[in-house]
Amino acid sequence: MVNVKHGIFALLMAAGAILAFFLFFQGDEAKIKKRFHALAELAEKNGNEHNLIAAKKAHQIEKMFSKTVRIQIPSYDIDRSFDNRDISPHVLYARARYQTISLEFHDFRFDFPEDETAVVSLTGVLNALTGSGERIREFHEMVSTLEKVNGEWLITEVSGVDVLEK
Amino acid sequence: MSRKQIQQFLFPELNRKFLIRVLAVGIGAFVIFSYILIPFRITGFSMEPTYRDGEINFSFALNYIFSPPERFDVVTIRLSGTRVMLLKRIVAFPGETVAFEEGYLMINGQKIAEPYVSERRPWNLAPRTVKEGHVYVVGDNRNVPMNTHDFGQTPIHRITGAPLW
Repeated sequence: MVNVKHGIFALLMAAGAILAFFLFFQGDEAKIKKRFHALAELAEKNGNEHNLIAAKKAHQIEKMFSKTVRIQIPSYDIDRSFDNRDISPHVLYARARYQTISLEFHDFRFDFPEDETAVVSLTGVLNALTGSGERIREFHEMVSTLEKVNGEWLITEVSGVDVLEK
Repeated sequence: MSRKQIQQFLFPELNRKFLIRVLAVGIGAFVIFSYILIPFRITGFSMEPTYRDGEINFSFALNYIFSPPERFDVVTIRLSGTRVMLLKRIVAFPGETVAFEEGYLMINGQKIAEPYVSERRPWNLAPRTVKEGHVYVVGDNRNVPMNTHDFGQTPIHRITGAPLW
């Protein structure tokens, strides 16, 4: 019985150490995941929102992107580069069209072709309710390139992947 | 069953044997439900009436280990992983031409009988050839405008399995 107690204690200690490691010594993968989850949280909307809050969220989203951002979504015929200062107005406009927005990111796959560069494949799921009451559910596979600038991972490129080609 | 046995069943003694059993069940369940029988919930109406919105199912990942997918098989297709997948029916293989004429599926110019389709809108899609290493997939619900329905060709390697039922 003493051995079992010691075993359980050792297991708990190991679990605690693993938890502490993940909490305090996050690797780049965890940092990038956290960045996307923060982006999803900022994009979220539940009913009416004060203009100031909407502007603050749009500004925070803007700060997650590098100075120039390239967006490529073949299914929507979008392929252009933005100055990151143009992101805020786009975000404000897009969020204003919906009553509610829920954005989730799943299935992250990482590649680090260079030290300060990450290429991430992920799936984005958007659930939204338009101003006219239409329910929208979209999911897209995306490939995003990020660069580490002053210790922060900034999104420099987002490309949509066509899983089904008509 | 005696009272002692019930007590032992509900509140088992934390001995080594019990902990090993719990660990084995935990690891087994993790492996099975992460890689072999991947649970999923259907959201959307693209496979109606065969599969309905809200139904629960499992994607059986070993389904195509010994035999390749066949025409009219319903398959799960991964996006960047298996957390979000598409559920579609295979209708054509590499080299075949696919088209829709007034809602009817045409393969190599021949009208195909599709008993799983209950109602259809007059979809029209010009013929296109399925690329090497791809399959052409469509949902069973053709009673929606064509531009709102996700279908098309996808690489075979994206197929993760088939629904268990």
